[in-house]
Amino acid sequence: MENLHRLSPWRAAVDTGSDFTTACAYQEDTGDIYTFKVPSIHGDPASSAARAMDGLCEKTGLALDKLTVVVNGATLALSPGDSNILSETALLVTRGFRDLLYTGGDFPPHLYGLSAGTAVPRISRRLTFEINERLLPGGLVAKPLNEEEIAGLAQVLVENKVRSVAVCLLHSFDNPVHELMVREILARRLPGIPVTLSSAILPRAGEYDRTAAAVANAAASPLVSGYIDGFCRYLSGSGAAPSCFFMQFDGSLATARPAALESARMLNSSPAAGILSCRRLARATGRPNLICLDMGGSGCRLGVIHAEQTGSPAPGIKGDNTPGLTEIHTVHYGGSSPVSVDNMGNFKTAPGTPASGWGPACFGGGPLPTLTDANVLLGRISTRRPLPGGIMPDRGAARRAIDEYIAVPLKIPADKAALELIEFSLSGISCAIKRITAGRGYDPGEFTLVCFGSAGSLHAAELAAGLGIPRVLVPRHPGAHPALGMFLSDLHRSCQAFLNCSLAGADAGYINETYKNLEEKAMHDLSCEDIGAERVNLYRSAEIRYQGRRKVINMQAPAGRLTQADLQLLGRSFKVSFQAEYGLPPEVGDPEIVCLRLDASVSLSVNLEAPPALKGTSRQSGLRPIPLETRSLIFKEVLKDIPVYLREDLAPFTVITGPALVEEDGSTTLVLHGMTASTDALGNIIIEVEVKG
Amino acid sequence: MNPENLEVFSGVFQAAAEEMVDVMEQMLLSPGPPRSCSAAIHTAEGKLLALSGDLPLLSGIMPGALGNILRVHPAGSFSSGDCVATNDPDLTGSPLTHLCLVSPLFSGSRIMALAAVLVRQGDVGGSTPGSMSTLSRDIFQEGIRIPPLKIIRKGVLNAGFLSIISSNVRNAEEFTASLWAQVSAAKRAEKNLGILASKYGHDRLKRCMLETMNHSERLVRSALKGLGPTSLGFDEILEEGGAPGDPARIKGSVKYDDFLTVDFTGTSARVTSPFNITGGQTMACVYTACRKALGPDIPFNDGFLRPFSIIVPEGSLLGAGLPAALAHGGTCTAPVTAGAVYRCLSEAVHGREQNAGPGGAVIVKLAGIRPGSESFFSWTEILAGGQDASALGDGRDGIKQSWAGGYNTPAETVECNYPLIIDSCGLIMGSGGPGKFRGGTGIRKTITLLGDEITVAVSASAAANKTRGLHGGLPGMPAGVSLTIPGAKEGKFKVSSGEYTATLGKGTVITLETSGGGGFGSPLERDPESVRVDVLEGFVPENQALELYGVVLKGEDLQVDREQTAARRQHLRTNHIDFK
Repeated sequence: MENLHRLSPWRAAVDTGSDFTTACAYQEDTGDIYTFKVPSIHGDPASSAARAMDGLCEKTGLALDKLTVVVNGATLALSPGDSNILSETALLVTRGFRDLLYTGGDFPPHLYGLSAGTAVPRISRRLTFEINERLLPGGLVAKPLNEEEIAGLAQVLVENKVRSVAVCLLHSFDNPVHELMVREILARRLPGIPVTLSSAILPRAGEYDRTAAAVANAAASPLVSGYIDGFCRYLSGSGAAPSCFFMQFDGSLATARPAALESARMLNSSPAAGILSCRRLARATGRPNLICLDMGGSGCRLGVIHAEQTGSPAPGIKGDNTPGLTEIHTVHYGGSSPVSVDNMGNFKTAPGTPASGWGPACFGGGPLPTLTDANVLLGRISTRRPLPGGIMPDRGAARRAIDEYIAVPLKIPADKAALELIEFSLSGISCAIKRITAGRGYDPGEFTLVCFGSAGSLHAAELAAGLGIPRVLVPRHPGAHPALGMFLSDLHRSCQAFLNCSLAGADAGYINETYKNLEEKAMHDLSCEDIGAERVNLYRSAEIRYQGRRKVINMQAPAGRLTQADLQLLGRSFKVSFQAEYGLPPEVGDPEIVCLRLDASVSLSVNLEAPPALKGTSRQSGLRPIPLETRSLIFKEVLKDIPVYLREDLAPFTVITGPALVEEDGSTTLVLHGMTASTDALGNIIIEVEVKG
Repeated sequence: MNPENLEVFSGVFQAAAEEMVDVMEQMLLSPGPPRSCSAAIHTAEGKLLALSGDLPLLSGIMPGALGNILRVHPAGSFSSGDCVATNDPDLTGSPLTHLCLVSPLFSGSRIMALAAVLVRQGDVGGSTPGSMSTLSRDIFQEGIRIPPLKIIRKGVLNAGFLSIISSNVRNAEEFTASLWAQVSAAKRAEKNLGILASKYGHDRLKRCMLETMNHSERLVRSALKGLGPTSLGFDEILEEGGAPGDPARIKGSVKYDDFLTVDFTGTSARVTSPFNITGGQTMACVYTACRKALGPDIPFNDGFLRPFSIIVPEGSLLGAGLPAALAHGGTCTAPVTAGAVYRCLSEAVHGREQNAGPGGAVIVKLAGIRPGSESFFSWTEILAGGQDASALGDGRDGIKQSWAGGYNTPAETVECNYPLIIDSCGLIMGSGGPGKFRGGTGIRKTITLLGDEITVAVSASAAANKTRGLHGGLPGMPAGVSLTIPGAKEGKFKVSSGEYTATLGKGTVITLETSGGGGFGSPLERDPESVRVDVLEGFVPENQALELYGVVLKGEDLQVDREQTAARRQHLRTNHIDFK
């Protein structure tokens, strides 16, 4: 078997998270999948990824020189300093607009809330500098840029130990001349310090959105480009020369150079891969409506996949991820999120920032107890099964943390404290699920809850019962679910040029020229050794709207040389599309082209639809599996003996009745009393939930 | 049969209302602030099922509006494709600039529900371009009043109606586009309700409509039970509108005893300036305050309104009938009213008074003809102030909204669409009210006119009313408006009353300053490290740190001198400079 491995080409996917890093191998000949998980090294994601890859090769015997493609995704957290202020990123703006990030922007999400709380890290006002320059509408220069001033500013940036710079000047979407000059001067004076231009990252009108995008990118730049460099160095150092791609927050892949330039797009890319994986499940299992619950250590991510989803994702780098049409929401109730009680006796949790002295007490983290500690104390997580990295959970430590921070302050027994801690976390997650389903008119009764990540499957049945969700699906390899999604992604590059001219007055020659430039840019960004130009699909489109109106429709533009007649046709089909959507008579207003877009893509995805044969030597093949052991668990203060099964022992179409536990590497599934769980042909566990009511 | 999942149905109706707003926003011609429109779904009987969005006071559809319109056009008189439009404040509860359109939502031959959509128009005629003069003395100066007319019958527009309106407003094109946006929104709602009717069936859907209302009523009643018997009073001074030396008063009481009664008896009579609001707007103020205090998550529908009793004296500032002028009431008087009610409720709910949140706004309306063309423009900006601090923490700096709406339009949007230049827009250092938790800082925005004959109408609601500090916190800096008119002798001058309307020319510079939020708790209790960060970040000047917060910062990197700070704070306390 080992020898076979050595000859077989394979692909790898690495999911670098803040707690754990998962590497996943897909063997191209057989379709076999292997996973390996290690604890992440805080502050050094590239080494975490390298360690996971080494471990994977060691475990499976796969050889690095047969590795053809490697895909990286990440969930990386920026760690801003005091008061959520970034201390190493500077912002350069037009004079008079220093406070753009405070005064602009959309409405706060909760008008009726009391708290001011904003989670977006801000650039320090001390590191926001105003530049004497001004453009006017149409990109006219009203006040030219003074090069000396920028050179002087470069010195100030050095003195302030700035590691990354964002630039947003007014009307740069129309004419980036001043932003380009700033970048050139800074590049000369401050070699090695990345400069993000708003006109490059989001060439659209509206200075707030552009600044927010540029700042997000600049803040992510040192971390993400360090990761990309580090991982590429690891690969070349190990003698492997696979094509290396980086997952983006919208679910596409990018090559190393654009991924490093547009860093913010990678920061939170693993959740997008998780959604891709869920989409595959929706197709493969014939369940079109899924609630995706990705419950890991530091947080919990939620998404809704619905058969009737309409609308279009927002452009640009902003806020939460939107792979395709699925928004991803994050709540701070992960397995390793510290929980405590305040002096009024209320539970509270803090968003996790992985650092030393953080994490579940039973793994030597602490001091505050976590959801994982409660599960270990109650017997739901085995103390005999080592965690990735070889750590054995320490039940005594879990009990001590829960005693000290919850049981003693609340004057209740530790077991009850652990149950209440779980209830607190689950109610937070339930509220979030309600908001994105019932709150938007989706009936939870029409959904299946897909749970993955280390903690998801332990709590999914309980959550589903409370929310009226009739079924839970635990996919195979729940810990590697996002990593598997990375095999389903394609290389993609979108370029756009701002135009803003009426369709009637548009010059076909200029548009042809612009598309040609965009194509060259996209091809350049996609190019890597193994991908020939013939594999690249190009898709031209134009964003068109009625003059003065907000609604923009992205209309496909024909390939090849455009003529004036093609433009007229484009205008007519826009009018038809608009009327179909809004019923507006087409005589009102002239269509204008806002911007030209070019989408270039290369298909890289693997067909995971056909289920690979289930692996492992099944100790039994009947439909009634034999439990590994019987364990005592605490439910509502009652001790119950329940069977524990090994996931790899469950052949397809096995049925087990709750209460029961199903254990596997890196995660545990809890089936509650009165529920039935079965495995399907693909190896997924489906729990039929007794919905109350 | 299983009981219905009422949360889902509330969500369905809410989503239908929100989608109508999305449709409208995409179709409006003005690039102005988002959410200058709202939408609601009502039952066929005119009971509110769901109301879109977050702008309850100004652009919201007022409670009772639909009932008033149905009295003129009963639901039974509607055919499929009909639309009724009106901007009559007596019926809609909103000022004239807000055009309300009502359309039945048919499924087959039955009316499933009624859609109401409201859009803020840039101009509805009247004495002043933009229809927002601070000088108007009655409603006839504020524009054309449209009684409830069936402007579309079975899908056919009454061309006569449109031609009368087009002859009486300054920007007919924008008006027409808004009207079509409203019609499109109602069509979308009809489509969505039709999908629901075929999914659940008429009867089940109708039953669920009623059940969602009962569900909300139950939730509100149980939230109110938590209050216990309550009786609190409020008395606010509103300098706008009142005669010099005789300010208008918003006075009343909040009582809870099975019903929550808000009684505005004692409030001043209506004023001659345009700072009155209608009874409908006053009700909206109360509901807004209640939503915030009792349960932002409780679906807002007719059931929510049931446990309330609101008494507004007729002909008062808060229940001004015809012909009172109303143009600035929604942005000035309404937030003060809502804030007063909220402070009372918060005392009942949280055990101590809390500020409502958004600070004093500045409203500016600029309207005129674009240079070198015939085209009329009208731009409204409601620039909100810093958020008040609360028991939970500091107020947000440069907050973007208030209850009356508000949005700092991007400079690029303004400059690309209007003959204006935004010279600067930033936070005002030291404007946030000092406190254990600091009020958010206000915004200063400077605008230069590039054209002649531009009508400028400004009002700064909190120019006279400072935001207030609570529990030892200090008020924020008040809002204000200054002007620099080229050729004028006085140079830059401050508009002392905060209200101003004039026609001004090229080169005029308008400076708007919104108020800072009020502080919460004594500034002497603020964590010195937070004061240090505020000084370093430029939110608080060093002298304020020393004089009001009693924090002594030393050295080049401004480290907190703990000993001297303790001494300084002791000194301020013993000398009764404790601001209590």
